[in-house]
Amino acid sequence: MTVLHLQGVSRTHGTGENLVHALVDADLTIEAGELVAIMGPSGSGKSTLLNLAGGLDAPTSGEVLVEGTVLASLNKKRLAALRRRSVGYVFQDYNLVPSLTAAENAALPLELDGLSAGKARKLALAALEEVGLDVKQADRFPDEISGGQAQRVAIARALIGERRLVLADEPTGALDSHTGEEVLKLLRRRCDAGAAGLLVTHDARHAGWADRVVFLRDGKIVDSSAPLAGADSLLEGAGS
Amino acid sequence: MASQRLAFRIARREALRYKGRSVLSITLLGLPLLGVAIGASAYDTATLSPEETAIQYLGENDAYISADNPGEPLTQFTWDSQYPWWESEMTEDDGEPGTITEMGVLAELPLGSRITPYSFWNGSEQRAQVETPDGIGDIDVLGYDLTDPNYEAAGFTYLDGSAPIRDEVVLSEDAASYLEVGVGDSITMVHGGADEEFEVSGIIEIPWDINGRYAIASFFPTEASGWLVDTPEPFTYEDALALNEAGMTVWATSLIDRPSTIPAEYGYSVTYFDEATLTLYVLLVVVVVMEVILLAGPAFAISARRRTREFALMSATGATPKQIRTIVLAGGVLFGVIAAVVAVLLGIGVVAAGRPLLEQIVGYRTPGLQVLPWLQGVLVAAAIVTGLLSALAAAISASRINVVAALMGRTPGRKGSKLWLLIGLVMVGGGMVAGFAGITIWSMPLMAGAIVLLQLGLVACTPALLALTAKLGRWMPLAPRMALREAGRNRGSAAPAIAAVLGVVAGGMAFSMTIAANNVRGEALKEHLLPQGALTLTMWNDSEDYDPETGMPIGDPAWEEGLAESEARLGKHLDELEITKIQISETDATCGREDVDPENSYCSVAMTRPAENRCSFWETETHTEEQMLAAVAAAREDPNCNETGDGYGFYEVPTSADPDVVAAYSELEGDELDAAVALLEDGGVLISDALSLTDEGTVVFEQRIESWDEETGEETESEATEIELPAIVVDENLLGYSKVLLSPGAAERLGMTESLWSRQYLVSTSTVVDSAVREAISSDLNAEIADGDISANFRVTDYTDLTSFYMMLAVAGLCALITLGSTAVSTGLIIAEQRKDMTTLGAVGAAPGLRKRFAMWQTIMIALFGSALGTVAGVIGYALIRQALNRSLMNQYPFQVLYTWELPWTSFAIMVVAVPVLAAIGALLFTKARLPSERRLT
Repeated sequence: MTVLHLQGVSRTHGTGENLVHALVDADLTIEAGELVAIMGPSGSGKSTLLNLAGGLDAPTSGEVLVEGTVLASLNKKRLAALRRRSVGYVFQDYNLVPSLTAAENAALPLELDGLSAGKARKLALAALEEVGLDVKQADRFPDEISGGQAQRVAIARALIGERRLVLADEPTGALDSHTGEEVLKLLRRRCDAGAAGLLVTHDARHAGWADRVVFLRDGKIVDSSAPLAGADSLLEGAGS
Repeated sequence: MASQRLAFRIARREALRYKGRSVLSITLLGLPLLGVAIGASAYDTATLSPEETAIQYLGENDAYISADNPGEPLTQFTWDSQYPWWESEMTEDDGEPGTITEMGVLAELPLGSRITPYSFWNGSEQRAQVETPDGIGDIDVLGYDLTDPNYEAAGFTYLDGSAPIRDEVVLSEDAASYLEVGVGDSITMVHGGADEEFEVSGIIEIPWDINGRYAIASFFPTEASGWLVDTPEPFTYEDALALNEAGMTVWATSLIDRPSTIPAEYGYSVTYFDEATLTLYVLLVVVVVMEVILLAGPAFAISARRRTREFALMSATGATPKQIRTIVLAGGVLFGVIAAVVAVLLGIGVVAAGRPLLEQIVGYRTPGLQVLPWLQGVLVAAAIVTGLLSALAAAISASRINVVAALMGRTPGRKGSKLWLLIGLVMVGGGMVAGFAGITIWSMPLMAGAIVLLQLGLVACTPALLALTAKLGRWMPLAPRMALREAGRNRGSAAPAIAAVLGVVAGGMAFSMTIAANNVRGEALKEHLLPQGALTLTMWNDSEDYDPETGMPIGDPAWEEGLAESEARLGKHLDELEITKIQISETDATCGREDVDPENSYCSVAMTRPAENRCSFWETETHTEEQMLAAVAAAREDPNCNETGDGYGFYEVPTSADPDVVAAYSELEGDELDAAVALLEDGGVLISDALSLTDEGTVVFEQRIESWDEETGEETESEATEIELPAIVVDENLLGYSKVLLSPGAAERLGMTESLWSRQYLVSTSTVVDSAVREAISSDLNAEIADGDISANFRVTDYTDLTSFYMMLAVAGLCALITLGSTAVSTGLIIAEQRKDMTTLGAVGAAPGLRKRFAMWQTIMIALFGSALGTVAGVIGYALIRQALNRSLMNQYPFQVLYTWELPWTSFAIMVVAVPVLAAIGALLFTKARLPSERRLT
């Protein structure tokens, strides 16, 4: 089942001499259960692609479909609803709302969607357990837990409820290597359980956890390949 | 509902996370509210209902009665106050109206009733001189027999001691404190040289006059205005009617609730006054609310700006713009509620704790702390609305953030300043239109809306103005150039700070202008008799030899001796001293007519205008509101209607033909002065009302003698005599209320005589009279003159009233303090945001002082912008307040002095010049000079 489909998607910024092509005619499809890594040098359009996939930004041309829904057809309110119900984000750092506890952060999409705090908390605790967070940490605030634990909460929040698309932008960037690996393992496990994942990373070792790696340069998808052992050499090839 | 709960949970946690910021916001919202809450609670507590007032004055007694129309039946229309509305029932054969005795009163009351002499005021009738620790002072005396239980029933309470017997007196607490005596001590009453000592038997408190300074004893003269009544059975309406029939009005606790029966034709009231007052209050509330919103708003804006990434995260998680708005607004509501609850509770607490002080201020005891729940409810609602409105701009801004840019940590593109400029200009234009329309059709909502639109419009224009100003940077040195451009670039930081300053200055300026105009109005209302700086010596006859029947002095007062002594004492301090007598002429009861009985007549003198110069108003019917408004409107068009209501009277008129005195009063010089002196020597007068001058160059005075029957007190005769005197007109602003300077001959023709009680002299000297000289002279003149028969006072004519000046200074000072605070906070924020740029500058070799200069220019920008825009908003706000103030004054004749345009230069200088300079100095002093160096966190 296709969860995310980008068809001829381009995104430009500015006009005239200042025109910048952030993403050029990108095609990408991610099925349920699949984890796709995006690699490329700085400014290659990785984050632009991620933002377009989640409906945070709109393409200049082309279409983005999430679970068959064309995002361009949705108004702001429906787009927000789609993000609450279908798409989850994990960012590099400052991922959590500081005034909410870990459980409340995980439950945030559900509460925003109108679910009562009590019911949302139950589901959030289950989600936190799934990502391996000690339930004792559930009532702690973000500044009271470690970076790795915060990213686990972010992943729990990204996948809570019925959501099947998780978009991760350098989720291990602010973590030590061991914790980073743990987070990626968790992401992998969630995809294996049926979610679709799009992982932006600079690190070829991290890309190794993905089913596929997409390489971007100057806004264009220059290569797409299965990962595993060849990830490092592929990255070098893309850069040359 | 769930997202609302979430919003409040986040708002609550944010408030706890950033306690300093929360306290600041709550304080900004709550401080004005605290003032209002204290005022509201104090007002509730100090305001007595008609029933409470009756109980306070009457206590357990049944009623108070007053012989207002002795012997004549009267109809009493109102029953709810001590001053009832009544009308005499005139009969064909008027009997013998006159006095009514206590026996007569008792005859009208049920058998077994008791009455006791009683007045509602103290001190206005009987005063006595008493020895004080510093000399001799006045004290009020009441001739009450305090052994009568009715007084105790009326609430007279002994704080110490007991009722007086024989030669004892009871003192009020203030009198005891004034005389520094207590129970058992003696006081000495001074009676024309014959002193009498009385022992103090008690200290008493009368609940409705706790600050009164009086002595009570049965041997003082009784002169009560009425009687307290204690009846054996409850007092009834029928009892009251019987008393009315005997010419007495009644105030009884049991009749307080009786409805008024004032006939419809007496019920005329001018409603525009109330509308104008209401409008004034609403406009003042709007100015204060806007000030609070603009002051507290930036705190929310800065908070929301710092939480940009948090809101972006929420958006990415699926929050709608409305939900983001709700989260920010929840903060506003939360702070509003906290501010309201704290302010209301604190306000009530302050009044509860300060009730004794409040009672001292109002001068009477209150039944206890009283709080009107609806009024406190309105305050809470107002605080919540103010909190909500303060957070509104921040909420809208937060809901419109560029999520992608915020998540990337980028500064979003600066778009839309032109749109905001357009919106701002439309709002300013709309505000002006609403203001004019509001004044024209007298619509309070339009006038209030005008203030809101104008201030918000100016705030909306701020980013565009900053961007525009930033373009001036190219011609400036590095530090001001950077400051200008940064303010233009980081409008999100600079604009809220400017809005805060704008709000404070606008409010301060509107209030300062109102105070300044009020001061000018007060100055105009004062009698300007002598020019500013003129020196006078006034002597009073303190001789105790006076006729107790007529109250007039006996024998020739020691004026010559007094003048010689006073002159000698002045001469010690003033060089080249010259003293010129100014005769002060008065009218007496007969105007010098020997055929008139001085015991039963009254004489008055008035200057008249020729018939063709009389104002049309005096010939117009003004019985209804419409007639009054039409007559005043017609008067405004009539050039003959130039009379003002700033005082009236024709007594104590200056009289002289001496050139120095004439010059001082008329400000004439040269030939004009000579002509005026010549006219006065020929028995003429100087007048300042040109319309009183006849075609023949004269002025006609009307001398009116009114006489009444000694027995009945009824007017028997009114005789008017016209006296025509040659006159010269001087400047219309001179000669005080009477508008005339008489010559001695003219005074004689008018039957006016020189005052027997006082003498006045014009003093000239080459010495500059400063406060030290004045105090030295006062001190010298304080010593006994002419063996104590004369007292003297030296006065420098000074019409300036510094109270208003200090009030304006206080308002300006408060505004300056808040402006400095908000400027400092916002500059600090901008400097923090500038860290990277400063690092770069440091790396390329910028001198350390650059950072200080940058901060200095930044503060100057914010303070200048805010002050300038705030001044504009304040001036327009005052324009509307002025209209509301003048509304009721406009419709009166003689014309009232209106509130004019007065720019309070001191306040203006403080806010527009001193504050930016102080802010700049503060920035220079408190900003670190060292440029930061780049540090890597990882």
